[in-house]
Amino acid sequence: MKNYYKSPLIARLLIKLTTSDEDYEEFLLDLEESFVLISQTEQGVSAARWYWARVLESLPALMIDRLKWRMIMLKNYLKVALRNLRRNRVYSLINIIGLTVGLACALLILLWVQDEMSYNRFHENGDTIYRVVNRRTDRASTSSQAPAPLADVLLDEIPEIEEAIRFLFRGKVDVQHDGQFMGSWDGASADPEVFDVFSFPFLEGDARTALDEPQSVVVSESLAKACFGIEAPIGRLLEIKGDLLTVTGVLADIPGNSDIQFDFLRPHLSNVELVKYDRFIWNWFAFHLYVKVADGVDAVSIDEKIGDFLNTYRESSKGNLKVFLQPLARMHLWHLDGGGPIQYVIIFTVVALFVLALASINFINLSTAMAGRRAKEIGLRKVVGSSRAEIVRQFFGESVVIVALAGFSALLLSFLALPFFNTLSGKALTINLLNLNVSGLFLALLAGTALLAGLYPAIMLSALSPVKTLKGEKGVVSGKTGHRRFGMAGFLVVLQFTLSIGLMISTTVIHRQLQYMMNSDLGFNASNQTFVILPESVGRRMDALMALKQELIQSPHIAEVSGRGPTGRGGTVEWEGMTQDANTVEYLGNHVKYYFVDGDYLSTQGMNILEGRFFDEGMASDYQNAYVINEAAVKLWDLEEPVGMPFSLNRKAGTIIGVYQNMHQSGFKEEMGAEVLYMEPSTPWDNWAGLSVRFIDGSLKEGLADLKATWNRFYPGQPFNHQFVDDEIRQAYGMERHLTSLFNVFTGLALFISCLGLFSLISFMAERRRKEIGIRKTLGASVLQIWGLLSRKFTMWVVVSNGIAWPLAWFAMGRWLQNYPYQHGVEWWIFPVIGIAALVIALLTISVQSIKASVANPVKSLYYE
Amino acid sequence: MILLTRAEEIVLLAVYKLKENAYGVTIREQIHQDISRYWAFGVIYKTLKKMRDKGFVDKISGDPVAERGGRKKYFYRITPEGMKALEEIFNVHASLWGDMQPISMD
Repeated sequence: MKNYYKSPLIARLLIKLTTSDEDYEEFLLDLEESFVLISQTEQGVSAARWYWARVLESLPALMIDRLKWRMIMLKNYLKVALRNLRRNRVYSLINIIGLTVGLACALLILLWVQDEMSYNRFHENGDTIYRVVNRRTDRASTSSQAPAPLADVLLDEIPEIEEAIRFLFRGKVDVQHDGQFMGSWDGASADPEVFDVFSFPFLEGDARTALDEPQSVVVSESLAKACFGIEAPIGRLLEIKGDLLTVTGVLADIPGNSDIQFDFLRPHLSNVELVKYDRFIWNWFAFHLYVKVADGVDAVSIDEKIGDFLNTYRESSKGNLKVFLQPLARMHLWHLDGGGPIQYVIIFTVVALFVLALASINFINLSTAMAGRRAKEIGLRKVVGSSRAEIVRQFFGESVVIVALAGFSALLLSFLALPFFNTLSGKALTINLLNLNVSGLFLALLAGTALLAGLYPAIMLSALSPVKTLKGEKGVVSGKTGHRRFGMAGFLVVLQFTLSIGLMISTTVIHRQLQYMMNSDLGFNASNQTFVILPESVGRRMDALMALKQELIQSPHIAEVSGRGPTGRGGTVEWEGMTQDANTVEYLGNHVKYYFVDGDYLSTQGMNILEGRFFDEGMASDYQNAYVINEAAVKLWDLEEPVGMPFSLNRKAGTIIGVYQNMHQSGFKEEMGAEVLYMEPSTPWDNWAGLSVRFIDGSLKEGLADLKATWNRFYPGQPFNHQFVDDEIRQAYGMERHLTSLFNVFTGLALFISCLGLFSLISFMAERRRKEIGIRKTLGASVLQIWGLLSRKFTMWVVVSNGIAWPLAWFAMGRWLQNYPYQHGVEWWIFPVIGIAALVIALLTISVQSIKASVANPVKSLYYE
Repeated sequence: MILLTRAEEIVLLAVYKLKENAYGVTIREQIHQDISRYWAFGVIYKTLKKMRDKGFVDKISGDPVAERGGRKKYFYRITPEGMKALEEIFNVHASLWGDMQPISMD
């Protein structure tokens, strides 16, 4: 024997997979004999080739033979499966309904998750685009806004950075066409290379050259439609902020899953904008900066080089800013200082899997519980020669059939529930089965469920011993193995109720937190109040504003009117007896928010003055050097006697004349910061932001009509923009409101599915113990005793579930509440209330069947032919 | 009268000719000698199985042999029914072809 080669393993595996056991052995042995001979005379490679050729040419003949038998068995399996479905109509229905609801829930939730994950992913170069952000190292706060020249420095110093794009978002900007006002649109400016980096889809125009001319603008489809109707937009003129711009491109409306949103994009007013602020240019943190790096460059290596850029290039630097890159794909889900939608993505994915798991558990429990009925069938199949693998295949196949049925109805249900789900979640999702992501997701869900739900029963049932089952031996299913199985059923029911109770507690806590935020004292009166935004086009002069105010006050439906200036953020604050060092002072100043008001602001807002007094328009000195600050400022700056204390804001010296209770104008989601109010004398460069108008209770509609009419008289043709204050606060809680309603629904469904499972288990048990119950009754057991007999175990399971769910929910909700500066806390009463509620619901579910079983006439159950 | 198919006829004849030594490898070789081509093992097994079901061959597991690394061989042996079937097919051939002149190709 010169050489001995081993026959190819894969070829052998292939035979094993495709041929029956009997053929397999013979075939393998014959092949091996020839193979050894050939490999002795020839090279091993050609022997292996010979082997492969023999295997492959034999496959058709072997497989056809086997497939024929497969088909025959499949027919039998299908027949038996359908008979079983029909015989156990109720249980089958429960199974399918549960799975349908579970699958539909999971599908909808995962669609939501998929949508959240899809943010900013549509850019072709997405993998190489990063946002340039900077972190204050002396306190953990990160900003995405950067000064303009940082872009030039990055391009010059770091060769790996190919492009740097600065965006300047301008909020709502008035757009005019042919002297006609066309509404306010989201405006932004950017560097001309923006479309080389971001792939916003162009409908018309050339992406490469669109913004090359300084007087050009690229508009969204909606804006183009609104201004030009059906006429061709390219080359037309738009007037924006006093500039006449030529439309050079039309973009499809920016998709909802982009965090960069605008209706028009123009080049930076380069020389004007960037040089106007020349001296301050490194301190004007207003630009959103994105870079595109070369392919395959690691962002970490760039981070190391650019970390200190803001410290080295800024003259006034304190050395406390660290620059780094954030991948575009992470921008939406991960907020810079932790948290962000990723939390909800995780929470909802978990909930979706929970609900699906609950439904699968029902399936597992029912199939194993019904094993007793099919023990004989399994035994007989084994006797006539079924292998265990075949039985596993049969039962698994049955599960697949049921999951497929449920999948089909789940799809229907999802289509029906989609509008409702969109309202709840505040999204515009669609189920497009042609979309590979969606159909792939759905198929993956089905496959996962089939595996999860089908495998355990299949393995368990196929293990039954044929001798015992056919002898009709007691205890095959209900005895020893039965005990183990019941242990499993108990475990699964406990799991179900733990999840349901946990979800119920979480829902309640979230709901309570939302209520707390909505009902807490805002520190001012938000109802019946609207804020009229003054567009730039009307001029924001004080005298004109006061005339409008006087006119409005005349209306019988309007109670109060007051004007206020734009909000400034961050500044220099100093007060008498200040002991902090320079760094802290900057920190304290950075947290301050300030704006000027008129004397009626107090009554319009319904503010509460805690100490001192508010501004008096009659006192000339109040216009010059008086400040009113809020409680939070007193606390932040640690002022002992605030009223009368000399104080200066941005180097304008004055005195604090009063302290007011914190006004939570944007709700309770953000921590209340320091606020400073002051009054401003009329000047030629007045810059009022708008008017707060309070209507008389109950005449909101009429008041609003009056307001609009007066506005139109004063500023004919000018846009009338206003925002109700309470609406605004409610909108701030949008995420919480959507979360609460979604949680409500899914918790309800989870409980429903768990109860379905409980119901089917108890009905099945009652049915199996019919004779036992009959005998007990004839021997004198009372209805109550029988009821107890049937319910005891289930009740215990639910109690155990409570014990597990409480600490878990308490821990999870504690973590969740840390997102909020104003927490309602996890109230202790929630636990027993939810626990008892769950118990009652479970007991009611059980009792439907257990009472029916215990009042049944024993004659009926004991009568035997 | 059950007529053998052509495949059955070829395989059964090979088994008959091999007498005591008919198993996968040798049958395949015999067929090669008879009809000058190699058949796939799969086809041979399939045909053998069909004939076992009809009772024309028996499958006997032989003793472990050294050349197979101490593993056994499966031998096939023709049964009396198989002999009868061969005889029948021979007679059919004889009566079909008996009074024919050799077929000329021109």
